[in-house]
Amino acid sequence: MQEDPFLAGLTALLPRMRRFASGLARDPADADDLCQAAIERALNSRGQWQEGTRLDSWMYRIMRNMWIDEARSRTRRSKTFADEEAGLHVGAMGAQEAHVELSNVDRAMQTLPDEQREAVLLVLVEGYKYAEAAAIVGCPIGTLTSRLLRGREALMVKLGEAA
Amino acid sequence: MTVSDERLAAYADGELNEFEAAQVRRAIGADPALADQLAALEGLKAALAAHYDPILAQPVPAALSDPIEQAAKVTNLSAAREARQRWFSKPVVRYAALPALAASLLIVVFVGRGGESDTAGYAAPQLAAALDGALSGETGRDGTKLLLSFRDSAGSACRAYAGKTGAGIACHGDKGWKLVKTGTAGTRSGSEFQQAGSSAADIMTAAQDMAANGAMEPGEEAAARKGGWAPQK
Repeated sequence: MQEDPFLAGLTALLPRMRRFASGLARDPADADDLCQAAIERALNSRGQWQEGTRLDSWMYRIMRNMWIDEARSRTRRSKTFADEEAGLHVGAMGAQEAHVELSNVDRAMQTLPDEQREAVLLVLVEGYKYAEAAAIVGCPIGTLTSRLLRGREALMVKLGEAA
Repeated sequence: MTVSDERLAAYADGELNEFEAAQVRRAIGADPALADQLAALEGLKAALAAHYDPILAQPVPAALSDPIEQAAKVTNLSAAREARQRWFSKPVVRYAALPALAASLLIVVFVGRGGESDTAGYAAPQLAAALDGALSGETGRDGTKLLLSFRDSAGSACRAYAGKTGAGIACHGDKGWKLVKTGTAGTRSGSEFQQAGSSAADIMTAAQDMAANGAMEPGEEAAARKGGWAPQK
């Protein structure tokens, strides 16, 4: 059987998708859930990917759109259930504090608004050019660079404090 | 020259053209504070890489790779289905061989010696030899013409043939070639030609229904013969 370039490309992207997702999401489980949902969507809408265009950009766009949608609905939910969830977390954490403990980078990243965090991830971690990152996010380059600048400054302040 | 934060960041990110980059480099050389700022930018990038890059080396959970593998199987199946439909949707080309087949049947009918199956419904030795040895399009020593090979839904190797007293389909199993379908027997009286032809056409239709993935390609068929027509999962 000859290999399907779309599926082979998707498989090759998995480690990078996990890296991107782990920057977007709050914890590793969330990150893999995001990857899984994105893969499902990609498989269902592969007709929208045009062969010869970059699969990675297409895939990252799917992931960030899903994450932004998810984040919006989570914000709505949390306005209703915030107290309840906080209560649950306190109970669940007790024995597993070491597991839940976040690194300085995680903590600093989580203080950033989603749009700044994704700009930082796409350019500084994933290594995209400004224009490529802007295309993935779907915003003008100027918007991308100013988000990146603000995100980067906030991170340097936070990590400077932690160091 | 003053260098804005944005420009310095663009320099660190490799977004400036050669001319702009040279300007920034000169400014950095002349201003230690700027050099410190640049070091901080690069330090952040290194910290992020140290934090996120190890994920690349982690094994990918099956929950992520499995759906893609499943999709690959589905794609292969649908590709196989497509190929089969292509194959069978060209009856004109395929059935063009039938008059020749019918002619060979006609001869076979006259030559006809003995039954083609033993009591248990397996191919008799001469037919079995043809099924074992001849590739599709070839004629066995007993005059049996091999039409095509395919695998049924259980993965058994099956062959449609035309010979002796009629056309048939035999599938290979533990005990040899089981005759799973035999067409109308040719008769000497009347229209042998027509009769033999319709028999072969019936067998082709039956083969189409039975073939899980269409007819074997010549390469696959040769490999199957080399493997003793063993079943394939």
